Amino acid sequence: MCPTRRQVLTGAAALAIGGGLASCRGGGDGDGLVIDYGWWGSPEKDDAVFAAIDAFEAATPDIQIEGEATPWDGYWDKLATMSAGGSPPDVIHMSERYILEYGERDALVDLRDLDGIDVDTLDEMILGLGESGDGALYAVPAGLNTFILAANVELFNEAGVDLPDDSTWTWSDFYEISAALAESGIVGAGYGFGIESFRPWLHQHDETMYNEDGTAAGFSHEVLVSYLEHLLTMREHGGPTADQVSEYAAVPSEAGLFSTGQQGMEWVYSNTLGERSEAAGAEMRLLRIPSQTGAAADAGMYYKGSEFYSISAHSDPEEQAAAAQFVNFMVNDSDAIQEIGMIMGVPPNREVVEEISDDLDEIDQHVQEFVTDLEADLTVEAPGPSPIGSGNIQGIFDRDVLELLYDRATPEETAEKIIQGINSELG
Amino acid sequence: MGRRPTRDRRPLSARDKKEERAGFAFLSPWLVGLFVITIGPMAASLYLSFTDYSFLDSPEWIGLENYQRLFSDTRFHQAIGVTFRYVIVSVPLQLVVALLVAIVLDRGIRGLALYRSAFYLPSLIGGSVAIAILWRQIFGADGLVNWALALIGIEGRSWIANPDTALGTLIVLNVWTFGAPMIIFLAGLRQIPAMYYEAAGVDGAGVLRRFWNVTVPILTPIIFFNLILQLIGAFQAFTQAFIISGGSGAPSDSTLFYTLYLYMEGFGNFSMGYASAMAWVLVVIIGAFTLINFIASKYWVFYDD
Repeated sequence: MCPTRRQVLTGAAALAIGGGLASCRGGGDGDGLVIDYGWWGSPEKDDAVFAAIDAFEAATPDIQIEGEATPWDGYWDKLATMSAGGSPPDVIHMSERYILEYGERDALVDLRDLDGIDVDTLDEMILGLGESGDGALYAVPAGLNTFILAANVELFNEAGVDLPDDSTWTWSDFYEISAALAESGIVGAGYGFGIESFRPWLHQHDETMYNEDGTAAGFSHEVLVSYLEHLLTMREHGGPTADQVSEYAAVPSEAGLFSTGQQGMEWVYSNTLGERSEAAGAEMRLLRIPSQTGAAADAGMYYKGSEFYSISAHSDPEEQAAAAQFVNFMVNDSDAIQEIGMIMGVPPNREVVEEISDDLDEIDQHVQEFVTDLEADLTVEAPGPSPIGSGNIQGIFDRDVLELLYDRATPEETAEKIIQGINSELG
Repeated sequence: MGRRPTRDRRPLSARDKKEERAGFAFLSPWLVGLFVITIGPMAASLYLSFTDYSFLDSPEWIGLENYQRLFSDTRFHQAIGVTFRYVIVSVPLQLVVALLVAIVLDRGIRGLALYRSAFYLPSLIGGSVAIAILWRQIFGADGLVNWALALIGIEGRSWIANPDTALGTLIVLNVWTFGAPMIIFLAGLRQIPAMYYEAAGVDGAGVLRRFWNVTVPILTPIIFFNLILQLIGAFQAFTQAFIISGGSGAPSDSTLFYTLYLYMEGFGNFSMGYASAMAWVLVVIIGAFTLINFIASKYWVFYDD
């Protein structure tokens, strides 16, 4: 009858649910040191990571890795619960959204303090994605990524629509193409609303997501309104209905409209193209974001690290050293990268990527080339980890933009609510 | 506690003491449970509710700040609104359905055990992931409900996706899991002596009259018991909303139950102190509702003895 007990029970229930969905494997069959490694995953990624773990264990017989994969949604609740109980995994898969939340609260070690990880081999720009403002390296990027558009080539062909020239296209080209796709009875293009697609829009208007010290929104009411109006324009040009957005919000992206071949274009993290293409059973291509001017350099695209390796500050020094050895293997060893491919983004060790690039399958090769070539069009510096409190901001977009799409709020009202929400999360 | 009832305070004999120890030994599993997983965490959460605690670093005393924040937190107000609507609609509805089904089953149909189990089944699986998926199949845009509506020429919409109707689908889900109160009603109905009905019948009372003037008054203690139980349960509803909304109270916070928001703040937003304050406010709310009902019960609950 008391909520605390309830809390414990629901926590336990959530764990049980998460545990039911999680796949867990490894450890226990030797007398060496056992290191826990938790990540969020999809079936494809889990297979790749387990294969990389096997390669590590073959090369390092005295260390065993006990891997545990959880879907994205349950992963953070679980990590929080385990951290609250003082027993997080030794190696923690991190997102840029939570690096500072955990790092600045002393839950993660500065990886430069450990000997085992050779970071000199990694691209400096990529390394910066995991660095805090005062230079602590709480997380090593597992890959370089960008949030960008993807096209289902087969649906384009079926609709008789040409793929755009993505280095010159503008938003009005984008609207037209989406509308043309929708005429063939599918959804044209998704909205991708949220921090990652809003950022290029902001860059196109010379504004930024956060203020300098990360304590408030860094953009103006007007530009947010223009972004929201742009979403409504997309809705009129083949965007999904509010019902569709709402229904698919709760299902994993592999089961969404785009990944099941019912939608022509979608906003994606570049590393997910392979599994989406597989899920849809269709050829897919990445596309640059449209600009206002018709020049890709004006599109305000940016690199982003979405997956990182961190090491828990709770682990004892011996475990941390072994964990560092494992992380080093995952980022610097070609056997590991061979297995992981592009599934966490383009790996940060460029030499190793070069070494294995001939063995990549066609779609991974496309992703690798696209992300690497994109550098020429980037004018915005890759942002570091998101400020503390930003973990909920996507949720603010999710609920307030849905109200907009249901016509229950105007762009003006929605903008006001979003800015208020962001400022209260960060402040 | 294994001691013979005695009024005088004579010293315990060796045997009494031994019996007492045995008594406590038998009670110990319950006592350990009480102190370790009930009173201990409750006391801890009371303390934490006055602190700023992220669960990653140590709690910092901030006095009443968490409680003050509740007044200005619009999402908290939303959560209160959603939860009250849910409680006020789904609890009476569920009790009415449970009572009606219990009355039908009480008429001595053949295969009672089978029906009783069948009607109880939803209560066992109501909070499961499978049901959450089933609910999407039923109330989604291409779901069973819209298929049925299309047969009679009405174009439906996605009930589960629309912020106006999403809570309604959860209320239906809760009403559907009426098994537990139904079993209790059934037991209560079994205890009403047949002679009361016979007497009422002799006096010329029809079916409805007998229901209102015999069944309901005698059942009032049972109704009251079920009401309190379901009320407390409904205020703490969590699982269905957590699973169906993907843990976010979606769409647009329309299924943001109190405990769901509490969980999100505590485990998702690193605000364990704030979540603890919410938990204690919920204790007070539930306590107040229970108290009001106990006071009101004097006017409508009839005890035989």
